[in-house]
Amino acid sequence: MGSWFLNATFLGWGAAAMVSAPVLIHLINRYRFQRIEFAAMEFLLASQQRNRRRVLVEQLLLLLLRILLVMGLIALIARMVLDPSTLALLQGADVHHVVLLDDTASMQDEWNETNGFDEGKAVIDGLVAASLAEGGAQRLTVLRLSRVTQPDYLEQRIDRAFQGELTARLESLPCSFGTVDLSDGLDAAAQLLAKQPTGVKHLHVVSDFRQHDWQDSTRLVEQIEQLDADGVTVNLVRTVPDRHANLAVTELEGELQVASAGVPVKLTTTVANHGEALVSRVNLSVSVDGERLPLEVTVERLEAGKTVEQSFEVTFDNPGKHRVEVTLPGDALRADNTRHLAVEVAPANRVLVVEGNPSAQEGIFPTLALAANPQASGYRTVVATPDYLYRQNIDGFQSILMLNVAELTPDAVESLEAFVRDGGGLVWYAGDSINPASYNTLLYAEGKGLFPVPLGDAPRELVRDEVAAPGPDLKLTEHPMLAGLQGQDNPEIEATRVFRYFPVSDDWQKDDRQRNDTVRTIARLRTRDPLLLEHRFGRGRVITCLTSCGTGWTNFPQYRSFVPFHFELQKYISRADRVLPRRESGAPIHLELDPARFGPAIRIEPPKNSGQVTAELQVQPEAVRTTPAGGKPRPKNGNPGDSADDEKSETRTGPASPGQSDATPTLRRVIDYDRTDFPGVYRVRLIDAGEVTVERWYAYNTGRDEGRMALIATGGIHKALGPELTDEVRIQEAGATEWLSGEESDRDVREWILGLLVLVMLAEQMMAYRLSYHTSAAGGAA
Amino acid sequence: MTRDSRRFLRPEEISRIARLEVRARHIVEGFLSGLHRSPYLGQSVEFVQHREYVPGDDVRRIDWKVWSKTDRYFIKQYEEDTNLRTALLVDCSESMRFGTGALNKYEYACTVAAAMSYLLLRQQDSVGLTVFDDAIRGRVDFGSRRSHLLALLTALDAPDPAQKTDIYEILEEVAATQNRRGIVVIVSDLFVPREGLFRGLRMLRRRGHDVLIFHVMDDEELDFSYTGTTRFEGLEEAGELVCDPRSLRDGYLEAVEAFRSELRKRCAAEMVDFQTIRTSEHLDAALAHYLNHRIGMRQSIRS
Repeated sequence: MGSWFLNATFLGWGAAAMVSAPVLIHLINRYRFQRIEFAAMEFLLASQQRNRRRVLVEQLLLLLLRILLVMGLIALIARMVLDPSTLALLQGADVHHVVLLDDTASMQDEWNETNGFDEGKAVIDGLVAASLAEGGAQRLTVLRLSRVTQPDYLEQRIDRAFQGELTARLESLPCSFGTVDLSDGLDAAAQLLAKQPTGVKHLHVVSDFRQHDWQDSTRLVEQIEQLDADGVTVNLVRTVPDRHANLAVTELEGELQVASAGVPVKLTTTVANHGEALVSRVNLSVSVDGERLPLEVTVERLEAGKTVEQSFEVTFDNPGKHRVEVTLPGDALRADNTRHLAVEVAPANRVLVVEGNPSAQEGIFPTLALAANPQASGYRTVVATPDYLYRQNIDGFQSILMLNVAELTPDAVESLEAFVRDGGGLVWYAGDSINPASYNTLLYAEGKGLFPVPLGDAPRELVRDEVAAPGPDLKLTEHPMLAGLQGQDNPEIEATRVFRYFPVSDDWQKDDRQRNDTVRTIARLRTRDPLLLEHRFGRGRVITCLTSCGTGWTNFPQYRSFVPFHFELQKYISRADRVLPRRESGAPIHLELDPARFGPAIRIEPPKNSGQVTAELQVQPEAVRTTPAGGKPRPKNGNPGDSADDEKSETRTGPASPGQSDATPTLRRVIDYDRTDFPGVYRVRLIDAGEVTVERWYAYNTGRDEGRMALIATGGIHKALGPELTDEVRIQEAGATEWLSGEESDRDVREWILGLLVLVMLAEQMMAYRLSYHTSAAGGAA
Repeated sequence: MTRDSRRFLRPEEISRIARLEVRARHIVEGFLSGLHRSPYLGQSVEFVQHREYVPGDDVRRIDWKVWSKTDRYFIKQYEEDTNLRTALLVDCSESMRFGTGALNKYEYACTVAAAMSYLLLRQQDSVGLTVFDDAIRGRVDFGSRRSHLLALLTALDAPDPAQKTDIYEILEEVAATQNRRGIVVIVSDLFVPREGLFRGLRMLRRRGHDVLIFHVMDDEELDFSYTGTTRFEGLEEAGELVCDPRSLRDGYLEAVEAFRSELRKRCAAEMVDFQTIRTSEHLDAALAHYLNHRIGMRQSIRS
């Protein structure tokens, strides 16, 4: 009994005397009556006879209400602590505690030799200890946010044995590096609690409660409202007391699609200052394949809340796969101090140059631009005739330049379409040889083909008229590919002349904004006729130049800008599907392998410092329905820059038009590997049909937002929840433990008692009035 | 008129009721040609009708003018006026001593009786008075002189009250002493055995009396607005009760209403006029209401 009151000393004889006071007062009142001589006693006695039982009950009720009133006051003074679980115990119901433990990377926030996740584990420990002390039927479910579908404990009965086991388990419980929306956890918890129709249900959300988690809190609030409506007590337990300074490497990317051995690759890293103070002279270290490079990247100055990009070049001596890491000095959150990148370095970037008129030798211009010194540029060109397109395998080329090709055979068109659809780059150059009718029929194909526009009947001269149309011939738009050419008012662009070009058909709408297609005009002639166009075909990019590549129709090849233009062109159109995937921690590796191409033995090597063991799998084929080529949704945690889906190359069994689906069940070796929490590079080794080992690398990194350390204030949570939920949802400050021992619930009980007292007082007054304890003027007259 | 007697007929009361006119509902027999029409047809100035002569009729009343024209005998009939003989019965039992206002029920009843006496005597009607509780405590014979009022008022000063027994005996005795038909006015709270009351009323009606009942009730008896724990000590040895009045109020009011309803119904069945009067009401208002009611009834009965 004493455990129900914080101020138990007040209880005892004093309380008994107080409780008995209403009885005494009630009895005394019965003898403090007025005397009246009355004539119509006959009727009064009849009424008394008829209402004797009711009056007795009302008297007793009034007495009871007065006793309750005094008991309520005693409970208030003695500070009664009767939390809902205790009530449930009295009712014989059980109590179910569901702990939703935030184990996202931000919980690794460290201070004073502890961190947010350890504090969260301590909360669970404390909750179990308090439940044990309280006694009764209590159960515990622990859900980690990173794996809400796999509870660590599911409705585990809380007893001494479980407490010991839990403590040991919690010690070894790791915090993840991933990012998971708190709403997903609440969804899982709500589903779990919905299965429990009766009993008391508590949901303890143990988290650091960062500001950005609550920026768009609509869904969170709706979920909490629903939980509250379902009778679940929601308890938000904070684990991080203060905001700590933190720098994060939020991005590491580069021109990976054109990375080749021996040629410097430009990489760019982004550093964010998530602290509240300016930082200066921060040195980043760069490692390749685990070896730190003698390279220092320094951020000179970074203001609070800002990001900065730092570029540097890395040269990979050997072709193949490489790991790159950029690391910041240690701070409160170490999880976001390193960014990992996997790079596929080609021996050289191969470009196919198809000449429509070999005698014109236009192929020499791009060849000289790109591969004058293959060792230095990293490009190798192959100059060929259109037959090459269907006679040879063109998958190995990064891009194809089509120079003044008169027309293509259907076989060549099919091969070229497959190449571009799979991500290859294609550039069209016009020339005298072009057969517009063939282009319009086979290649334009009503806007569905490889050529972006229908061509006019014949090439047209661009007459220079300084009076009527002064200015340069070229009018460039803002485009990443042309960014390098436009800098500092490039005089060569001003000087470039176009003498002849192929006009588009007159009935083609030249205004991009008024056409409903993907074609974009990126450069025009001064006559407003389009000159350079871009459109997508499948996963590949197509650039179309309506003048020649050589000097026949333009003088552009004579200028030095012609060389960087082609390098930029290659970076822009080169197939990016061979860029190794970059993902956020926790995203699963999903593979559907063609059993005809790969054997059953599959080996997955996690990062060396992850502490995880290598997974050796034997995967048998199973029937699956393959997804549309290129149509599979990107994994949620995937990097927007990813272009290499896990299963893309295996599910494609043949050419298919964009959007075409293949719903026929096929045999595949399906792998789902979800132990990808630790940041680093995961290597998947496959054995192909020729017993050759094929490796696929996946770079995993901590979620970008995890380093944002701003905490939402308790007032902010209240504001987000709104006035109705503010009273229903409890929020525990970091380090507070009173709520575990019932101190917190005492507040609620006190409010309940106060409310109850008001109700009892109202009822008592009504009853007292009815039972004549209030005198009135009429009564006074009597 | 003694000081005590005057208290039932104060000047202000007299001035209030001076304009009222008492008219009997029925035509009663009487000696004086007053304002009250008699049921007997005889010599008078107001011709009513002709009737064919039958043997035994007074030959002096044959209308010879009609005989000369029709050769048949008809006699003339006239309406005779008569005076009113009113017996006032005032309850002076212990229950009538209850009152919460300026007057208790007995005082109020006496005022009613005095006011009616004054009115009736002023128009030279004959008034008698009986004051009773368990027995007849005082009696004044009928008289129509103005000086008769003093005797009436003196009789209203009743001695110590007692509880009522069977009112039938009282009514029977009153009926026995009144051999002429007239009006019997009972002023009482009627806290008496009901069967005896109604038997007595029935007897009076059978003897041709016109009966009026002024049922005098105190405001608290009708409203019962007491509050606070109260010990009610019954008058007339009706017992006592400690209770919370508000909790019994509804039941009490139901019982009172049932009592009054029964009185109303059974009085209506016996053609007895019944009027409940609150002791807080002005006397003139009560009398005016009653008399207007009676004048309205006379027209319907005559037609």
